[in-house]
Amino acid sequence: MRACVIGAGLGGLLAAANLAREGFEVEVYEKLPYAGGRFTNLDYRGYHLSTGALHMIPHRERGPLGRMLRQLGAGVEIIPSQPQAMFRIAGKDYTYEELPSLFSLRDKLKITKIIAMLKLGKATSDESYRSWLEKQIKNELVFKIADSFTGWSLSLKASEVPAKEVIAQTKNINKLGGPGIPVGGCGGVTKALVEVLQSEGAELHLKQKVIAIKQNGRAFEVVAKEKRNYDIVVSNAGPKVTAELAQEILPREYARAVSRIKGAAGIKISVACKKAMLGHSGVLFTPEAERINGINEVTNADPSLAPQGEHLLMSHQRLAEGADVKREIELGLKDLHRLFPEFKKYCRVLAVQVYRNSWPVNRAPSGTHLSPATPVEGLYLVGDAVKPEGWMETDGIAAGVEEALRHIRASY
Amino acid sequence: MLVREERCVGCAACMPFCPNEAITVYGVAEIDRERCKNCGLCVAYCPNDAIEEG
Repeated sequence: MRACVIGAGLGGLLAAANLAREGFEVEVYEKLPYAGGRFTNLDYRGYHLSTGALHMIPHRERGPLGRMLRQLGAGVEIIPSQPQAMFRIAGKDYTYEELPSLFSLRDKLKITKIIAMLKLGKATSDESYRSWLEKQIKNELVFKIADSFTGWSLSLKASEVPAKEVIAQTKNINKLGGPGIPVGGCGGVTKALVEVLQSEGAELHLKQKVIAIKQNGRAFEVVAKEKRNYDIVVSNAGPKVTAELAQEILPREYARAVSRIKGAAGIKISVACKKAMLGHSGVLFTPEAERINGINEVTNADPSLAPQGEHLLMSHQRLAEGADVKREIELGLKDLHRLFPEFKKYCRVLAVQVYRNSWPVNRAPSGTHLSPATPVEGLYLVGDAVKPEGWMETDGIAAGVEEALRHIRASY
Repeated sequence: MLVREERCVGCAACMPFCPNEAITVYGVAEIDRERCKNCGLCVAYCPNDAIEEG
């Protein structure tokens, strides 16, 4: 059986490594000169920045990605964040458990109830997380905390994500724990996966752009530099691009439906610091900042991500559709100065990176739940548009790959 | 090298690969024409086909 994987992002690499281990002859096509897509390192002035993700895996070594990396024999160490998360409110940092102490007795009871409801994982209707919260409590700080969480992890406002998605995600956090930092950052994971591909005999073609997916009898014909035939095609190029590549074989309604999906956009600011500004390896949520949703300082877990003795701080903020990007960046930078009064003394901005349009944070917003199976048997989708309910970020990608593999195993 | 602003998202994937430090990115990439030696590396590293020769 021959499998073609289009795109060497995290989803493509995971799918390719699994298929190769299951006996498929695998070829991966990547248009860029490097593997990893939005999940690898960008080395700049001694700092390991990233092409996208913030060097964190949402459920440390215990989630779908950690499990899959272990099963594949990819040698990646994931260091659990300690503490998992802090929340900066009125200049002080609080743990999740300490948050109720910030509120009046009446609201405290309501918040304890909300936390219990999130934990119990009760599915609700299609209402947004924000309107679900509004039914329980009227408190601006609660809404800001919710926005900082969904902004950091999903690049969405609480009003843009279904309540049942957040409830399912919270359940997974309670069960598996919060984030972890892969040693070597995103690039450490990508490198390990490329090594798995090599040891399994899969071929990785860099700088080879696929221009069409056609059908040739029972087989697929994939057109890149050459035309080659495959039994299955797994696309990590995103639903829109995949529908364009396969326009001869996919139904038009499907292409129209996926063309309507709007991705989630965001801005990441990477900062070089002469000293630790957070001092821990967890997420600092910043509900009261103007734009920034959260910050991490991964060098507290893996010092090799910055030059010796220095630190790498990264902030993330959701980018609203149609917003003035330069103004949003300015507001993000202002937040950093406000959050860290010593910013000027110890920190310097290394890079401002925007993720939108054809290179977004997520190709489909959390809660979309696009199936990895397409209407054409043998053509599958993986990547950040294909995340099953309750799974966010890279763990969502791995969970989507698991689902794609289940479909493939059932048919081949 | 020329940045096609309508395609550039501002992801800065090109920036570290420029051997002449000719690229700055602030919402969109800008190439310093005096520093740029037209080596074309940025064209290859752009995920969005947003840089072309010129």
